[in-house]
Amino acid sequence: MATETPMSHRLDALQMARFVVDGFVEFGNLVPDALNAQVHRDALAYPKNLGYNPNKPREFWDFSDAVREVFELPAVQGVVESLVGPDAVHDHSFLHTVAPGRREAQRWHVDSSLAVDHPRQFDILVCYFPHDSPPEMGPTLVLPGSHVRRVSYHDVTRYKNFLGQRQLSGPGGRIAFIHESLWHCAQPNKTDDWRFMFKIRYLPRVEQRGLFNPDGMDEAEIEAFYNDSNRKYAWAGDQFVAMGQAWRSWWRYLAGAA
Amino acid sequence: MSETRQQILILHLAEPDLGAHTVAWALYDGSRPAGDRQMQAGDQPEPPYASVVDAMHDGWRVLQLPQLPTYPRGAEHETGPLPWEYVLERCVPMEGANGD
Repeated sequence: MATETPMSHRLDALQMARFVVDGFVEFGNLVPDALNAQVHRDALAYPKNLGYNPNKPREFWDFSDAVREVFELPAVQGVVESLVGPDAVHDHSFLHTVAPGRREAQRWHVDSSLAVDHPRQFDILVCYFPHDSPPEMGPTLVLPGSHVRRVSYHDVTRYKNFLGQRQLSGPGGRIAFIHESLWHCAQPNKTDDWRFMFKIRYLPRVEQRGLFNPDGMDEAEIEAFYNDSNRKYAWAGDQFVAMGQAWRSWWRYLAGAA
Repeated sequence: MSETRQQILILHLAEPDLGAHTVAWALYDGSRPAGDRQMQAGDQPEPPYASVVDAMHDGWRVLQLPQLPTYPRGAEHETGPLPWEYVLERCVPMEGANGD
């Protein structure tokens, strides 16, 4: 990503506020169907059950021309740049698979320890599902809103179920752009088909503020959005107040007011 | 007498009150045969009990109550793991055991 995408491809203020509250934003319309189908074919042709090899941190990326094309789309780059800025580092990527009939769920975890300035300072995990992924196929389960909690890697494996847990299921071509501290886990695949999800971790090179598109930002609308989100997460119980404080403090920083 | 094994139920509540509603839950079941699948992440959309008190009425014994918080200055709004975590247990006959 050597050149910046135009502001028109960046997240707008409300989408950015949604990322602050939920810990991710997802889109189903950024990638043409034909390209999704080609990535799916590449995934099927790729050797199965390759574990992640840190000495080959971009194996599927190097294997599939189509997946590189997906991430070069201005609409995709624009979201990435909204969150981690221009020229972000592609730290590593991996084609995550769940085999047909695999009944084990992954344990809840986060993909990071704590950044010094958590949650303002963060990497993103970009999760791309090239094919239709209904719930029974085991798309990733996330706990929306969990990214503002200060936990590290496997601290959350003892937990099993939460009010508000949500699978990233849906039609093919969806991309979720996720804060590194969001709690998540892979799910069982009850179908006869492989489930694929390609994930890139991007690291910022810049301070993560003032990166979204502020055109048309309505401060009253943003404040109303945060107010309406106050009780959004039942799993947070009486800590909704502290979480609301975290959102607003982060938002002031993002918008350049703090 | 049939052999019994321990079940551990962890309920996370919305507030410290034992009657507050359950927001997260996990079951570790020692009565299941070794190798059987335990409760998994994401496999149960509704809590088994509405509250700790509700579980007590069903025979669960409370093993652990969470400590109430103190707030170090400067970290008043920090959040981490779920705070209102109650650990409960009961002993039940081994699954598949022949009781006498």
